[in-house]
Amino acid sequence: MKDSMDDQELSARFRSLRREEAAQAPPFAVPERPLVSSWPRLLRAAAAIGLLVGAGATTLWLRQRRDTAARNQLALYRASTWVVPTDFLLETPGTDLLRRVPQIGIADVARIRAMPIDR
Amino acid sequence: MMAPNALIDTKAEGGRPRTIPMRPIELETELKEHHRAAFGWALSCCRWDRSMAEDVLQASYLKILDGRAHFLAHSGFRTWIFGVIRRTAAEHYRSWMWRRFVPLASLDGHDKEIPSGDDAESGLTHAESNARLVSQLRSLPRRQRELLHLVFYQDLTIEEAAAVLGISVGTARTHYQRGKRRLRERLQEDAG
Repeated sequence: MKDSMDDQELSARFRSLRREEAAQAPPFAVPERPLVSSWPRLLRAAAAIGLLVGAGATTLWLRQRRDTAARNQLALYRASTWVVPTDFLLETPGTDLLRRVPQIGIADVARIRAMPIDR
Repeated sequence: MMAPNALIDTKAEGGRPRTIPMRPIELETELKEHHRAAFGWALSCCRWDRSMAEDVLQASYLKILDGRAHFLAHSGFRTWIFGVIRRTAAEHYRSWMWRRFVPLASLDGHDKEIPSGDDAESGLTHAESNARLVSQLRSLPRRQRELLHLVFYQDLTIEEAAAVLGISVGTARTHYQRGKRRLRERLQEDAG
């Protein structure tokens, strides 16, 4: 083996490799176009359509869900702030006394003093 | 029959280049003429994985024949077809890398280790010297390997090889010199 390999020797080695690989090359054949090339395109188109439909459905679902939540909140608010229209009928004279707890033992001295003395 | 889809450059009377469609039969004739060289280049692009090289070659021919790749005669037909094969191999390699992450990918046989030159299953029975050359070529960086293949194996000039790889002539020359030096050193180490 020489110390340095010159270009001719490299070329010879590559030529030898080329001969060997050329002998093992498959025969030339024109590929069948439709079977190989059309399916990936169809699949890509179907995938794109599927993605679009999915995105649309998701958007609709999210919008509907948001609307439902808003409607529920409004109904809850209305229910909690609802006032009975006939509530005023329950307001009778003396109702105020019924709502207060009577207190015993505390005299209103100022009021008593202010009362006129009946002689 | 295939539709005309490629263009070939001719010189009009005024010296201005013009293009005319290349007929399908002419395309097939050209492809057939360069078939063996194209297979060798496909093997190199696929790191000597024979099954992938055959797939890449078929996919490249399809691109050419159904009009997805156009020959615009900026360079020779062989230079152009090598460029198409190189791009197709890169696409296949990306796809192959992707399939490696899919759990069931092992079933389709694409995730196997790239066979070495003397692997019996690969169908390639290199002679010992050729196997050593292939082994050392595979260990080189991609650009250097491609340039050495195009120049020594395909007998292209450095300018033509640069056109195939889509790089400047200066860059191609640098990779060529480095690759040649490294390959020589490794082959000598291997022999010694």
